[in-house]
Amino acid sequence: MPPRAVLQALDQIWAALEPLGLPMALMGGLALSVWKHVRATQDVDLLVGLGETPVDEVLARATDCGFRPKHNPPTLLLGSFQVLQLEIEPEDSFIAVQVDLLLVDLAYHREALDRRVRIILPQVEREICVLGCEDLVLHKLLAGRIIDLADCAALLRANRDALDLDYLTRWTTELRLESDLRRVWDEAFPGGDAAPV
Amino acid sequence: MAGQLIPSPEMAAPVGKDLSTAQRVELWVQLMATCDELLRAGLLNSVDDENGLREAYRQWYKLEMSNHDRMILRLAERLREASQDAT
Repeated sequence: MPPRAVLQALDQIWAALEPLGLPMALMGGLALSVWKHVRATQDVDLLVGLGETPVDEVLARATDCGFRPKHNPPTLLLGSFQVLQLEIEPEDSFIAVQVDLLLVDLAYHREALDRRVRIILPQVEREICVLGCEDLVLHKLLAGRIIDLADCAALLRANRDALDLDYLTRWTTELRLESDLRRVWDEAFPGGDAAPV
Repeated sequence: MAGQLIPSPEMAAPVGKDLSTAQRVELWVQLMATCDELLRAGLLNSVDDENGLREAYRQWYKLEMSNHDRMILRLAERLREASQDAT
């Protein structure tokens, strides 16, 4: 996927949703680069704190700005977690870039979104936010594929000195991810300190 | 069990720890552009023209995203389980 298409999709979805005033943070592959782990990615993933806002309002903003839902019905409801998958065809592109909105209202996500970090990305016209490193680690542990665990180990190693271990261990325990964290911690720091959980 | 997910620290490629955020994202842009060129070159081996390339590219992306969609579902399912356990 051409990088310009992904960055353009990010810029457009951010511009579309910003007027709603919802807390949002970039997650996924592009966010990894911000936290010192550079790898290719093919789409845009955003965590969005939905609060009391109806999901239809989010969908309407997105479709008004040129996005189309990937599925019908547009949202998938899983407990208190909703996924809204969108597509947009950036200028000069023959392929639609996928944009996934993870619409959340869990206590964990409220705290994760409170800790989001503001950044300016090249080729993106506005300031955006990215999940904190610890929260990217937690989401990668939840995703659980080999590539996600490898990302997780790389993030831990690259950001070891700056990690908030109290926060990381608290939510690792709450989300029942202790054994997953121990595994990737051993990968990140072979022969080093034991995992904090 | 170490060494199964990522290379040992001694063997790992340098990650440019001293790069700024903008420089790391620029590195991501370069990586993405290179991957895209390689992908197109590979797909061109199996198609005849630009239309064929576009169709092959779309099929590749569809497959990539179906794998990604399964990851999102798994993530959501594990969050749902964890939040149920917590209540």
